[in-house]
Amino acid sequence: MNGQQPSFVSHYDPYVYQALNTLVGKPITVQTTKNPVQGMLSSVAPDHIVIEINEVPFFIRTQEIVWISPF
Amino acid sequence: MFKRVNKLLIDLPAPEYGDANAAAAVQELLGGKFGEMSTLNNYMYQSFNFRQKHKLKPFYDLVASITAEEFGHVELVSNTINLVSKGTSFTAEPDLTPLHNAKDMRNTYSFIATAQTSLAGDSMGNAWRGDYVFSSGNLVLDLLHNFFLEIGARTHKMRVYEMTDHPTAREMIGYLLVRGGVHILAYAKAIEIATGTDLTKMLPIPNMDNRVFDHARKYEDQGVGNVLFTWSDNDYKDINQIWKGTNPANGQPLIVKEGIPEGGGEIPNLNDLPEEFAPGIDRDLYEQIAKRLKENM
Repeated sequence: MNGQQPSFVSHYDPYVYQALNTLVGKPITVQTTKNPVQGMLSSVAPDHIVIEINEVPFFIRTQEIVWISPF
Repeated sequence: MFKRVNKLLIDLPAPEYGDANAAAAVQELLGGKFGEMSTLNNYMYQSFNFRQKHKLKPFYDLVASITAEEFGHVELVSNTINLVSKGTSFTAEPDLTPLHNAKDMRNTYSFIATAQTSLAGDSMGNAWRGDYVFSSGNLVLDLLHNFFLEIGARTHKMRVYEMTDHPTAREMIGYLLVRGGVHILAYAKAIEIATGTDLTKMLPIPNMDNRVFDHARKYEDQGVGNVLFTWSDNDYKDINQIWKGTNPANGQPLIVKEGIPEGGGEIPNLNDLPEEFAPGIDRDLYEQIAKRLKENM
């Protein structure tokens, strides 16, 4: 054994996370690398957010977010 | 003449996510050379132009009744495109460029011309054309053309199914593969009665059962593939002289049902799209309109 341990690396955008937390419960538009998503920001985790569109939750990786705008 | 019913042939799922490029592909099944607008208009003009309608009534009844079904298919595919065409734009003031994602979508007409709904054209944006209609007046030739047209339509449906897994598109294609199979068999049987030639021996084309497709299997199990409707309260009943015997695909009896299918689905109610100015009626204007609508009733 060479003593190596597997390690998990998670990319973390601390200021994006902080900004998203101020928008919980509000309607926002998120441009992802694929599509724009518009709905109510229901929760924020360090690596993903949950947006509800007509009460249907969409879990979006923070790494896939290009920009965020409240509307 | 036609009587209209405000229902869809089936209940279409309407998830809160879309795929504009999938909607662009589905356009081929609406306004392509082998799309539903072509089947509708082929059978419609052939029924208008049919010579010796009385003498050859079962054949006239077949083409005339299927015309009405095709109208419902045009409606179903259009509504599918409308439901799949979401998730590209967002609601914002014009200066924030809310349609900027549309630049990279295949069908820019969808964003510029139709406010993210269906277009009377194909998957490349070409307009549907009247010269897709074949109405030669020779009964056997027209039936043979219809047989070929339905097989082409089936092939295109199978390929679009392979292009997108969007649930709305797949539900529609699953159902239409089964109904299209009915029309292929109906024209094959009509040709057999008219000429003595059994074309059913070469079916299915492509050589793949509808049951391979997850979204078609349910409709096959329900027997949707064994029934031909008259689409009329009192007319077109002589299709039972053609639609008889058993279905070579499953051995089950072929059934003629008078009228239209039972059940069906609600017509989707599309949300407003302020970034497309559609329908362009804000709350204040709506209140004025509502007032005028109720005046002098």
